[in-house]
This record gives sequence, C-alpha cells and structure tokens, in this order.
Amino acid sequence: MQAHNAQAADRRPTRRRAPGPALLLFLSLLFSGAAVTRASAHAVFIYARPDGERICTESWFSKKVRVQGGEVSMEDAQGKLLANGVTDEAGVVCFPVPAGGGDLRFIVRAGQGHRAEFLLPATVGAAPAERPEVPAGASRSGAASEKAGDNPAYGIVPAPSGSDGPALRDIIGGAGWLVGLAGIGAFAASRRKRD
Amino acid sequence: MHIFRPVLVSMLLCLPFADAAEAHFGMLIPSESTVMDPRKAEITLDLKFWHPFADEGMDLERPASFKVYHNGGTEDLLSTLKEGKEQGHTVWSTTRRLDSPGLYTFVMEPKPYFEKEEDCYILHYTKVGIDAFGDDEGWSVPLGLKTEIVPLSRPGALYAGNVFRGRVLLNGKAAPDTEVEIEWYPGKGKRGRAPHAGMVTQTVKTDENGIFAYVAPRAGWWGFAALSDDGTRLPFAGQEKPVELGAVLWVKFHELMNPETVPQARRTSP
Repeated sequence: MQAHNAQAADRRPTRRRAPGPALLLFLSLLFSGAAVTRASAHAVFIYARPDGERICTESWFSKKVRVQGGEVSMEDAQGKLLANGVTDEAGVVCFPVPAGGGDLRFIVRAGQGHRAEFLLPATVGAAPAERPEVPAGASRSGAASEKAGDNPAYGIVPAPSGSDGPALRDIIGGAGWLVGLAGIGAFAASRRKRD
Repeated sequence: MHIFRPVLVSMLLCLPFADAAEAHFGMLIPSESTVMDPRKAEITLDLKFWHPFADEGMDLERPASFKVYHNGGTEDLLSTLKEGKEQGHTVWSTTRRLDSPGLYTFVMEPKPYFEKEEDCYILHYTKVGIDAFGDDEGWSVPLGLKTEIVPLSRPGALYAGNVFRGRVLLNGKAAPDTEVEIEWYPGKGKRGRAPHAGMVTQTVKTDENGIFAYVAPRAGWWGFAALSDDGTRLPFAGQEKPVELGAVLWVKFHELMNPETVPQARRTSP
C-alpha cells in the first residue's frame, strides 16, 4: 500500500507539469488546423469569359470563399505567358484580349499548392459578353484588372503591392506553429527537469 | 380518419400496379452531367415518359412547365422545347448553353397522365442538376416543388458503389415511409438485363425523416422516383381519380477509373 502510494506520489508532479505543454500543443493544432483546413478542404476553380474588350476570370474555393490575392496567368495555346494578374476580393481579375486569337489558358495559383486551369477556346471567346456574378458587396474588378487594361502590350502585369502581404489565415497558421513549437520546447524542458 | 381513407384506397389501387412491372419514370437526361469545358457547355436535354431499364417508351404530352434554376433565379424554358419521336412515341428536347459557373437544376412538371390500367393519374415532378465549371453549391437546397427528392449526397461527385442518400419532401415536409422506386437507364437504344421482371425496378423506403439510401451497383444514369399520394384528386370521365405524385431525381454515377502514373517532375495538385 505504501509502495503504491509512493508510486502515485512519484507520478503526481509529472501530471501537474504535463498539462502546460499538452495544452500548448492542442492549441497549436487547433490554430494551425483551422487555418489549413479552410484552404485544403476545398478545391480551387477558375472560370474565364469574354467581357467586351477584356477577358475576365473569377476564381473561388466556394461561392462565399473567393480566391483573394491569387496569381492568375494567361497563356496562349503553346504555353507562352501573355499576362499575369492578381485576383481582387471577389476573386476576379481581367485581362485585355490578346491579339492573334487562339485558345487561351488561364491558371490560378492560390497558395498551399492550390492550382487550377481553365481553357477558353477561341470559338467561345467570340461569344457575347456576360458579366461574372460576384457576391453582393464585392467589386467586379480590382487594381490588377485596371493595370491590365492600362498595358497596351498585354505584358506582365505586376501584382498590386497590397496583395504581397500574408493573408489572415497565414498569420493565424503561423501563430499556431509558433505556439506548437513553444509547446514542444516546454515539454522537452519538463522532461529534462524530471530526469 | 375519413381524410386518410381515400389516400389508403388509392395507395392500394395505384401503387401495387406500378410494382408489378417496370415503373413509369419522368425522364430528364442531359447530354453531360457536369460541364467543365466551354466547348461542351451546349447541353442537350431529353424529356420523356419512359420505362428506363427496359427502354420502353410512352408518349409525353407537352409538359405543363419546364424551368431551369440557377444562382437563385429561374428561367422558363417551355417555349424552347422541340417535339420529337423516339420508338414512335412523343418526346421533347431542348438545348441550353451553361454560360456561368454554378448549379443548373432543370425541372419538368408534366401534365397529369391518366393510366387506365392503374385507374389513376401519374404526375412526376422530374429534376436533374448539372454542375457547371466546378460550382455546384446549393445541391442540397429544396426548390419548393410540390414533391421533390433533396439530395443528401452531392450528386455531382458520385461513383458507382457510393451510397446515395436523399430526403423526400411532399408539400415541403419530410415524407416518411414512402416508397422510392429506382431504375437504371442504360441509354438510348439499350435495354438492361435482369434475372427476372421483379428486379427491373428496385424499391427502398424512406425512414421517419423522409430519408432513403441506395447504392448504385454500376455507373450510369439512375432514376429515383418517390411515390406519394396526398389526397389530390383529378376528374376522369366524371369520376374523381387518385393522383400518384412522383418526385423524380436523375443522378449520374461514374466509374472510378484506374489511376495513371504521374511523372514526379510534373507532380502538381490537380
């Protein structure tokens, strides 16, 4: 009975110390998991259509979650890069119609390895324009599309400076990792102290 | 109790006959179940009144309505229907370009068809959804039809062997203990082969929440017809006749293809 009590007493300090790192680990998983799940649980899609003198693309994870600040490339049928753009808050970016016609391929890169393509055949490119439908309160075109329209050579469109920063989910995910690493460190320290 | 008596009588009169042979199905079959390529965005829709498994036809009178639901709006397509003949029977078709991302749900409401042999009317509200360009949000949202099957499994991503679940609504409420008849449609000019006539149509019943489940044993178009009777009567030759209300949903199950080897250098997310 005494031995049993002694063993129990030996375990007690460890039990008191353990919740700290475990809690930190749990929190880190919670934070980083929440940030990653939102992006990785959804496939990304892109759609392009003619819009008068432009071709507008919209990219989304879902109807409510648009690809914001995603890089969109416009390539010709041979894979030659014609223009780049960055999606606005509605997931939209527009490009001037390139000279020469032909099929066009639009590629969106939305972080975390999310990539989607859309082939806009030349035959469809001649169809009547229809405005992309975007959620209420969101604008139809962002800074990138205006810059694309300003560029007569349809060359590489620089990304707007505002989109270079990390997104909120990246910040939360990063914070989760930091908390997790701190938790692992604290856990290791507690093990060393016990030994 | 007297309210339920005619319902019970009509169930006894009407529904067992439907079980005896292949079932009647309103059919609404698009040329593509999903559109991802703008070159294939011009969809043809075939409307008919058919025995799908046996590929035996009946005449479909010009429907009472034919609509498409898309991104919160509806569009009347009735005037676009073109009459045609298949196996000598009247069928209808139309084409529609899917010109923006989102779920397109097509709904046909036929005129009530009086089946003399069953001494009742048949009225099948028939719907099918097409996912355009990767956006099919809203696939589990009821449209508010008289009766309908609301999918609980995403219809745009089903492989043969997956469980398909749906909820049957009648007048906007869950329809418990309701028979759902199921038939495979092998395609135009093709007839399914069953061990015996009793296996042409399969039947499941809804639970207390109006929910049913089914596993399609092979790829292709499968029709689900949830049959109800809410006491609606229509006159025929001076007599009131029961109406078999059908909530018909067409769902495409796909074959799961063998994997292909991806060169490591090309490895990117799909």
